[in-house]
Amino acid sequence: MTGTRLAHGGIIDRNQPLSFTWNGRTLSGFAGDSLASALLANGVKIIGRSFKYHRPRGIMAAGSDEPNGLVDLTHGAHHEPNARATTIQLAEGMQAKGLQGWPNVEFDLYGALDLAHNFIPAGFYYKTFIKPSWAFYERAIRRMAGLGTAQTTGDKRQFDGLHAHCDVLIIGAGIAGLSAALAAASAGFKIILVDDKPHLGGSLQWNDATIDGLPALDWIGQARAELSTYPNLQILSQSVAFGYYDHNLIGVMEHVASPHPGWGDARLWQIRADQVILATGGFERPLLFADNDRPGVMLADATLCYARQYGVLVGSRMVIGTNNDSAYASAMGLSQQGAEVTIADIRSTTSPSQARAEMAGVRVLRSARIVRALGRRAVEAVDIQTERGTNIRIDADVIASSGGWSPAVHLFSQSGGRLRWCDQRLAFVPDQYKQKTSVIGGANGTSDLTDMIAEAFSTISVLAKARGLRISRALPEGPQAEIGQPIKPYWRDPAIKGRQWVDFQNDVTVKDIELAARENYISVEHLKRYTTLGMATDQGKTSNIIGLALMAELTAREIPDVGTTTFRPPFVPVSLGAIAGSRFGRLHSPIRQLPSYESHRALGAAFREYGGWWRPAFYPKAGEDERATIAREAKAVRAGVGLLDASSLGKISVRGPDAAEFLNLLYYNELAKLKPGKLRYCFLLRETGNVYDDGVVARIAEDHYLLSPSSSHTQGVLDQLELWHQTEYPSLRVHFHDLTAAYATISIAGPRSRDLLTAIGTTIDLSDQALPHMSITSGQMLGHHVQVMRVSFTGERAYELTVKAGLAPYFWECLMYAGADYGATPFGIESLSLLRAEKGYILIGTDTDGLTLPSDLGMTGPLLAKKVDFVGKRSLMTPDARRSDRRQLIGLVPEDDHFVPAVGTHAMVEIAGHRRSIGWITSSWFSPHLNHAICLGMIEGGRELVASGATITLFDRGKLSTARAVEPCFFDPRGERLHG
Amino acid sequence: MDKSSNLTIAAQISMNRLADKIPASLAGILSVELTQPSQAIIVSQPNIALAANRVEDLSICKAFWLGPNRILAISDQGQIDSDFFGPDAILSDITDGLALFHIRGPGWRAICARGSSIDPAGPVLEIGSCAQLLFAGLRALVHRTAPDHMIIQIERPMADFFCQWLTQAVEALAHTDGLMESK
Repeated sequence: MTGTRLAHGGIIDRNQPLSFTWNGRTLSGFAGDSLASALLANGVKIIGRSFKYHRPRGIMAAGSDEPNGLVDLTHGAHHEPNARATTIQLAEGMQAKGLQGWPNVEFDLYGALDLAHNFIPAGFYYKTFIKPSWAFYERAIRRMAGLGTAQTTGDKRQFDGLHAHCDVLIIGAGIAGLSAALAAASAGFKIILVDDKPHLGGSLQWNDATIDGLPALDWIGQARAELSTYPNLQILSQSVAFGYYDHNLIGVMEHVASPHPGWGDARLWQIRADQVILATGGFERPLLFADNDRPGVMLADATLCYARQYGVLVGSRMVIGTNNDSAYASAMGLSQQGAEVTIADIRSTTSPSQARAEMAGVRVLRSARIVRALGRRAVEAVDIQTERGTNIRIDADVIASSGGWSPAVHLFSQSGGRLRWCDQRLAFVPDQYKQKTSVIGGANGTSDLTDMIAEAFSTISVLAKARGLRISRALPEGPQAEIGQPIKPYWRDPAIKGRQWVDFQNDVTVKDIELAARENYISVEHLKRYTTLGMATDQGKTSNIIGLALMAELTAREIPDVGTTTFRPPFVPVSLGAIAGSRFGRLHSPIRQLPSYESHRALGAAFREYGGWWRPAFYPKAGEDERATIAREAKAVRAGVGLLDASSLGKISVRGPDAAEFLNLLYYNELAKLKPGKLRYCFLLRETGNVYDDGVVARIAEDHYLLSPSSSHTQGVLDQLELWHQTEYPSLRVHFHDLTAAYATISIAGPRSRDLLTAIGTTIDLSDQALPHMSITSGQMLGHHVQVMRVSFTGERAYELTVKAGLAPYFWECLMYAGADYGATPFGIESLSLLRAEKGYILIGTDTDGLTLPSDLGMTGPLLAKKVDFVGKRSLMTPDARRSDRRQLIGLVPEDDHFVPAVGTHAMVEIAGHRRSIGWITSSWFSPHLNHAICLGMIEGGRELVASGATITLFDRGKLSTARAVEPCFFDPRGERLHG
Repeated sequence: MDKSSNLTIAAQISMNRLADKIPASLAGILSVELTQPSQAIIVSQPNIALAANRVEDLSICKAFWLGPNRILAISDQGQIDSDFFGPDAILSDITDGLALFHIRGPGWRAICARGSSIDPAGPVLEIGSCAQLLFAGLRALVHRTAPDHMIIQIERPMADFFCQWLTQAVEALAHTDGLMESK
């Protein structure tokens, strides 16, 4: 194959040369080139090595069906490991290199694997790499068989993504799609027209036709100009529809040719259409013959595409094998450009196409089939078997073939549509529709241009009539229909010796399919998985039908009886970055900000995300590490007073005459008898009895409660309230309002907390008699209304002030200012976690999991005392809930005082030489107050272990240690400091 | 410390940065503004009945349908009389919990297309309607007051995140060739 750049023609701009590199060699192309066309124009024959046998491979197709042309592409800061050369627009400075070759694709030492092909057929992995284990071989195999290497650094580019809606979404801008767009636009539909190429027209751009009396390219230009006048039409070119989802939602990936610096070259469209029209055309199938994978073996239509679109004559001596009329267009087109063309037609009949080709100088061999390609690194000659059974050898630098066309029904199948086999077209075509979809043109199996135009207009006409609209333009006049010769079924010649490739990208040969049939992998799904047929990045666009036909032949079935595999999105590989869109980095997930965020930032807080909020983890001073900071803050709380921003705690107001009855039905704890002005620590259970959330419930008045769920569960708790109210107890008069965002909460904790509050002045009586532990009141402070809860999560006397969120910074600053006299210290969530662990207070989701029951946490009172039913009660009565060997919350003190086990460290026992986990550590800290490590853990039969003072063996990544089982409260077990 | 400062300072800073990033090419096409209501109240059992997803302009406030028997009352000027919604109404003041983002200009459709799957031309966003949906991944209440004026209400702790999201959306919009997708 000796690529030649033609002097004229095509969409390339010969006045705009572009420089790029291929395997480190500098080459040139033109603006408008694809990477593949530029490589072909530069005479590049070997573009890669095959996946399994490392055979040299060249460009075969011109679009998304290309199975061989995957390259490693770098452009600027962007790297793409498996870029398809046929769909990449050439750009200045691109650096491309071939994949799969070592040291390179031109000279590949792994190519020796091909000599061992008899020993590595389909499925050899499953049969061979059993002992000692797959993992033993995996790395070496992946090195030899893998594709490109993903970059190890994150893609920093930003990606855009958006939604769109339309009446009619037309996918494909070939003759059928363009005709549909013209008709629909003239009728007044809101339309989006999507096409994966930079220019409209599809294959009409390189095929001869006369429409409305104009040559095809002129008609396309006229159609484009007409479409541009319609304000109700939007065209997305270089955009591939990759997924068809429920309710007519289509995923479209648009290629952005010149992205802004820092932005990606793709953007995702999610388009919802009332009607989707699929005009996606078809894919040409290759013919099988021995060594049909040599560089220089191409699809017939692709050779014409390269000549007419890109001005690249891919060879000077070409042989084209075919079983249908469509290859004659390529033969004549290439002959016109000066190539010496021979066509080997399996059919014996004569058609007008053949006659025209012969008149154009094409040598036509009837009843002739290609049996073998000769040459290793490139095609050098071809063996053809003629009608009389004799073989002739023809020197050639390109072998092209056309085995018929497979409608591109991928999106139709994704929509849920069913296919049927069409014997006349030798293809699966759309049959039963699931969504509001129409399929027209080549995708529907239609091959005549005039028929395609008529099909498009009649489809739009039906839609327009249903909407009371009317097509206001004339039907384009297509070319005169010509009666050609039908396609002849031909899948392979069993007499041909030598390997014939079916799936080029995954190196699946006829022999592999024969083996699958012999081993009874005859279901299409088994065939696919056993041989990997159709599982590569090209999704078997050129191979699936051939594989099915061969399996049908080998098992004496009809092709439709073999069936088709399931087509799944994406139709072509798409950028994960573009799918993620803006959802990475700082925008990865919405995280809330505290009202006093800036005050904390000014104090040097180290922020971390807790339960969907950015919260201060701790406030380090200069030279302090995290552990020292936490110890200092915790000591300050125990010794004086600390300030914690607890604004993220949920605040759900529950009001109504039946509020008490409703909450009593939901919560594990008794709430109907809770007196106004009092608080209770409560569990909310799932129906399974497992603890969903914990928190304080305050009774403000007879008909008014305030729930304080944990920060991460506020919305979940609200959802539970709504769910139970709406589905089970709609008659109860109760209402829920989420006030979390509107109010801020500051916790003042420590033995001097009351002194600080007294100092800043309040109308509230803070005496223990008026405001004892677990009570609530409200009044004035700093001239504003505040609600004060006497509640503690540190084990110290503590008050929670709740004020309007807008006042939070003011209150925080005032408390810090006034607190200076009391050594007031801001403390963060990590310090709070240490303080609560010393007290054995649990964190839901940290010390519990989805299996934890209240009794596992030592809270059994409500189950015994509460008379009324509540959510989860029945589950707590089951034998499983009463097992004594359930995992239970206990304390653990490592025998090495200064060893702090990692959270997740397992407690284990050894039985008959086998280790078994009996639980794990859920919280672990070094306590500065106790001067030794403390842990909380969920351990099987934990309470019995505590009672017996057992020593437990801990296991963490191969390291063993021991700890004593103790009660889960390490500090002030009598709770005296809560009142002190 | 200004005790009357209500909107979070971080969100205001982000908003200022966002305003700086709106290029001249979008002048007249897009502007954004962050405000807070004078008062916002959730009302259960109001004495008025709103059709689903509708906005009513009452004499002292606007009322947004939140669900059966539940509305959000927002006043731009002054306080809402607590008796206005009748003796059975249950009210909760959430004024400090709301942030209102005003998107003005024809570019609102392009912002809408990036933030949500809602159809800007559909009935949900007709003037007089409101929609509770996920916008930029946030729970939001969205409505329009004029052909080229969309208001996105979100909870105020998310205001800074939303400012950052808007900044990226505006940048994306500025880089596209015109506003073709907003048709």
